[in-house]
Amino acid sequence: MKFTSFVLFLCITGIVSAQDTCRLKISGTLKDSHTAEPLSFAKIYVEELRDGVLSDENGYFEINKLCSGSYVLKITHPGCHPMTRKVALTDQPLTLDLKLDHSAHELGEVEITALKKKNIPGHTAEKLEGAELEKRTGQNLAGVLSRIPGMSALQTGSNIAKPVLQGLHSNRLLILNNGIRQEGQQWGIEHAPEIDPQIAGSITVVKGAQAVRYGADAIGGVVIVEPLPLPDSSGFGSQVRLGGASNGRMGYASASMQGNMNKMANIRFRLQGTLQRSGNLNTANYFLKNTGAGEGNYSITLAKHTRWLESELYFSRFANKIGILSAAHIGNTTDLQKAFSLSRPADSSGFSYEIGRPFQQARHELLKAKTVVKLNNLNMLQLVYGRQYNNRQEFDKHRPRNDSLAALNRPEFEYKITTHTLDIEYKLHDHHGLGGSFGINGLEQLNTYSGRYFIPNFRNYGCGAFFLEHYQAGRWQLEAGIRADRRYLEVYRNVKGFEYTNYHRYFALSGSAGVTYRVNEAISLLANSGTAWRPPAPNELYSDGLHHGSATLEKGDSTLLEEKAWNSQLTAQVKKEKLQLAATFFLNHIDNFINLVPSGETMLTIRGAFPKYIYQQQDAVFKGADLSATINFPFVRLHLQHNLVRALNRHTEEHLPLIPPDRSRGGISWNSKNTGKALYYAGLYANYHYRQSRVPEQFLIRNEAGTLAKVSDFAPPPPACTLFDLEAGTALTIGKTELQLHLVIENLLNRSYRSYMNRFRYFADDTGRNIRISLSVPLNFKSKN
Amino acid sequence: MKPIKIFACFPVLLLSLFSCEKPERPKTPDPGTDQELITTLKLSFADTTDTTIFQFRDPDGPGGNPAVTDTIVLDSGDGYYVNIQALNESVSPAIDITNEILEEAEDHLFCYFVSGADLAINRSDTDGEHPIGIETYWNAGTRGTGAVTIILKHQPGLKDGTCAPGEVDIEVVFPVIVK
Repeated sequence: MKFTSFVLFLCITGIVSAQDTCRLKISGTLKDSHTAEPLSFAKIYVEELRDGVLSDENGYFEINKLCSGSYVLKITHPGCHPMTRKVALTDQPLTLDLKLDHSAHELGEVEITALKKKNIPGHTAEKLEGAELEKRTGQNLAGVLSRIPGMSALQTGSNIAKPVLQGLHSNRLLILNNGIRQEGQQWGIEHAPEIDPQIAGSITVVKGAQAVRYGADAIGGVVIVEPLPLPDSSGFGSQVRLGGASNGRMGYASASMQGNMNKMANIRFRLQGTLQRSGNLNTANYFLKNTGAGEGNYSITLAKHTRWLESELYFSRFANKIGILSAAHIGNTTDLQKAFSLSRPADSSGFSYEIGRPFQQARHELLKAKTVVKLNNLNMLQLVYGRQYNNRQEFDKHRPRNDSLAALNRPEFEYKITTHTLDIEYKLHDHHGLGGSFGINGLEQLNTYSGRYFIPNFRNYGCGAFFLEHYQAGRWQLEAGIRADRRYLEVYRNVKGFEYTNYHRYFALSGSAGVTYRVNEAISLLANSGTAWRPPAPNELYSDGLHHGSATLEKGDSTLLEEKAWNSQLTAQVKKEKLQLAATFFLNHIDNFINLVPSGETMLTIRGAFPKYIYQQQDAVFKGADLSATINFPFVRLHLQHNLVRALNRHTEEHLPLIPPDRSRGGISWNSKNTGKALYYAGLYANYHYRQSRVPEQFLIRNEAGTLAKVSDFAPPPPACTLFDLEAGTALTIGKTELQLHLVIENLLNRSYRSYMNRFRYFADDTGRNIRISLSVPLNFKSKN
Repeated sequence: MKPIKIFACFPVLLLSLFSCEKPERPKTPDPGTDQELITTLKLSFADTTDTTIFQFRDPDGPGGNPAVTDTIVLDSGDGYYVNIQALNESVSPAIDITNEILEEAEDHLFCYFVSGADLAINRSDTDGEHPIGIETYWNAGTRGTGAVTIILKHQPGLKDGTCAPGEVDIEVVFPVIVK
C-alpha cells in the first residue's frame, strides 16, 4: 500500500515536473542474427507510447524524451521474426544491441498447432504458412484451403476445384493473387482459379464482407495468396520441392531461387517454376477415363529497396491442360437418363497419361508493378499496377464432322480476357492507436471470344474510392470504412449480321465496421458487419446457347440488377495452453441473389431435347457456423470441427442448390517435442460428410419427345459418408539445411463415395485412396562479401 | 460527393491514357456462321404416285425460336423410298451437310427407332461395309399412331453397324400417323 502511494506520488510529481525525469533515451543497433549485417528501416514500436521510429541505414535507432518506467518494444522488419523486448528505464539512457533472426529463406519449423491468425479487427482470418502449407504441396488452391473451418470445394472431378467459403464461391469470393484481384472467367463452375499455390509463402482466408477494401465480388470474403517476402540481407537461397500422389500417378517438381545482391544496387530477386503431370484418376473400384492433367508455371520477381522507395516487378505465367471425363459431357436428355441409370461410366479404361477430348486448356499471365513510397512521418503511399491476360479454351467431345476441319483441332469455345488494374493507397501510420488508409482503385477489361457463342465480347470499366480507419485502445480494436464504386459495362452483340452495343451502369456504396474485444489473455470476441455488392456477370446477362459441360441450354437476362449483400459475423476465440476453441456464426443477406434455375421447359434442338435453364433473381440468405476445438492431452491432441451452411431463397423459403452439406471432422494427433535435430508429427482424422438433405424440390416434366425428365437436379444428393485421412511428417536438419518431408493419405480406407459438390457425381464415384508425399529442401548460400 | 467521384475515376483515366487510341470495337462474329450447325432435317417420301416432304426445322439454332417438327402422315399398306437431307439454314444460301456426311460415310450412321406405329424401316445404302441410312425404305402397315426417332451418330473409327458407339449429331422424334 505504501509503495503504491509512493509510486503514485512519483507519477504525479512526474507529470508536474515532466521536464526533469522525461529526458531519457533508448537507442541501439539492429543486426541480422546470422550475418551481423545492420537491419535498416526496421520499425521499433513502443506500446506505451503507441508510436514508433525507424532504424536508419546503419541499423541505428533512438527514442527520445522518455520518462522512467518500463516499456515494451516491438521490433519488426520484413522477412524477420518479430521481436518483443521489455525494458526498464530508471535514470540512465539505455543502449540496446539487438539481433533479429533473419534468413534468406524461411521454411519455418514444423508447426502442428492451430492455424495462425492474421489481425483485422472483427474479422476471422485463417492463415496457412510454413509446414501447414508445405504438407499440402501438389494440391490445387481449393484443395489447399479445404481444411480451413468454413471452406469447402465445388468440384468437377478431382482436377477442377473452386474454393467455397461459407457456401459462396466464384464471383462471390474474391481471390487476390500477389495483391492483384484474379480476373478470368471466374463465373464458370468448371473454371478453377488459375493460381499455382506453390508461389505462396502464405495463403489467408478472411471471412466476412471485404468490399470496402477490395470493391466488387468480395461478398463472402477474400482469399489472399502472397509470396514470401524477398530476403533483406545479402545472400542467395533456393528451394527445391519434389513430390507426388498415388491417385493419378501424379508427380511434381518445383524450384525457386531468391537472393539479395546488396552490393549491386540493392536488387532482390526470385525465380520460381513448377511442373506437374498426372494421369487418369481412379475411384475405389475403377479408373476414370480421360482425367489426366498437366501444368507448367513460372514466376519472376525483381525488387529494389531504398530509404524512400520499395519497388517490385512481378511476372507469372500459369498454364494447364485438364482432361474431362468423357461421360461428363452429356448429350441430350435421353443420354442423361441413360447416364444416371448406369452405376459407372460405360467407357471403362485403365491407366493412361493421355489427355483427349473433352479437355480444357487455360493460360494466365500476370504482370505486377508496385511501388511503396515511405514518407518521413512513417506514412506510406502505395501504387500497384496489374495486367492480366487470361486465355481459356474448351475442347468438346464433339468433333467437327468434316475431317479437314477436325484436323485443325480448334477449341469449340475460346475466351481471351485482358484486365488492367491500378490501385493507389495512402496508409496512415498508427499514431496513438489510430491508423487507417484511403485509396482509389481502377479496372479496365476487354473480353473477346472465338468459336461458338456463349458469352459476348465486352469492355468493363470500374473505379472505386475507399476510406478505412482502425483504432486500438486497451482491449479494444475497432475498424470502420466506407467505399463508393462505379462500374460500366459495354457489351458488343452481333445478331443476324447487325452489330449493336448494350450499356450497363452500376453504382454502389459499401460500408463496414468490425470490433475485436480481448476479454482476457485467452479469450477474444470478434464481430463485424458490412455490406458488399456484385454486378451481374456477362454470362448472367447474355449467355445463350448450349453449355456442353452441363448439358444445359442457358439463357441470360439482360435486365438483372446488381446483388447487394449484408454480411455479419460473430466469433468467439479461446486460446489456452490446453484448449483452443473457435466458433464463428455468420448471417449473410444477399438481395437480388442471381441463380441459374431450371425453367421447367426443355428446348428441342437438332441434337435432341435439352433442359433450359434461366437466370432468376430473388433475395437470399446464407447463415451457418464454423466450429473448431483442439484439446491438448499429455501426449496427444484431440481435434474437432463442425461446419454448417443454410442457404435459402427468402421469398419462397426454398433451399438453394449447390450448397455444401454439413461436415464434421475429428481426429487425434501427436507431435514430438523438439528433441535434438528432428521434429515429428502424425495425425489420424475422420471426416463425416452429411447427406445434403436440403435441396430444392425436384419435379418431373414431360418433354416434347414424350419422355419424362427430372428437371430440378439431374440426380438426388448422394448418401452420407465417412472418410479417413492420415498425416505424418518430419523436419530434419542435416548440417545447416532443414528438410521437410510430409505424408498425407486421403480416403485411407479406399471407400467408394460420391460428393454432392462434385458434378461428376452424376456419372462416377469420387476418387479412391490417394497417398501424397512432399519433400522440400531449402538451400541457403552465404553471401559473397 | 462529386469531387470524390471524379477523383475515384482517376485510376481509370490513367489506365485509358496508357491506351492512347480510342478503344476500337472488337470483332464480333455472327453466331449464326457456325459451319458445323445443322438446323434442318428434311425427309422426302416417294411412293408410286408422288413425293411428300416432312421436316424438322430450327433455323435460328438452339435456343431462340422453338423448333418446328412436322407430323409424318403415311398411307397404310404403302411402301416409300425415303431420302434424308441435313441442312444448315441459318445462313443464306443454305449449306447442304448431307454431302459431307456422304463423303465421310464410314464415320456416320443414321438410326431409325419406331414406337407405337406399325412401320418397318430398312436402310438401303452402304459405305462398303456398313449401311449409312441416308436412303431408306419405309413400309407402312396397319392404321395407327406412334413416333419415329431418327438419330445420326458420328462414329469416327468406331463404326460397327450398331447405334451404340459415337456421339449424337442429330436426334429428332417425328410423330407418325398411318391412315
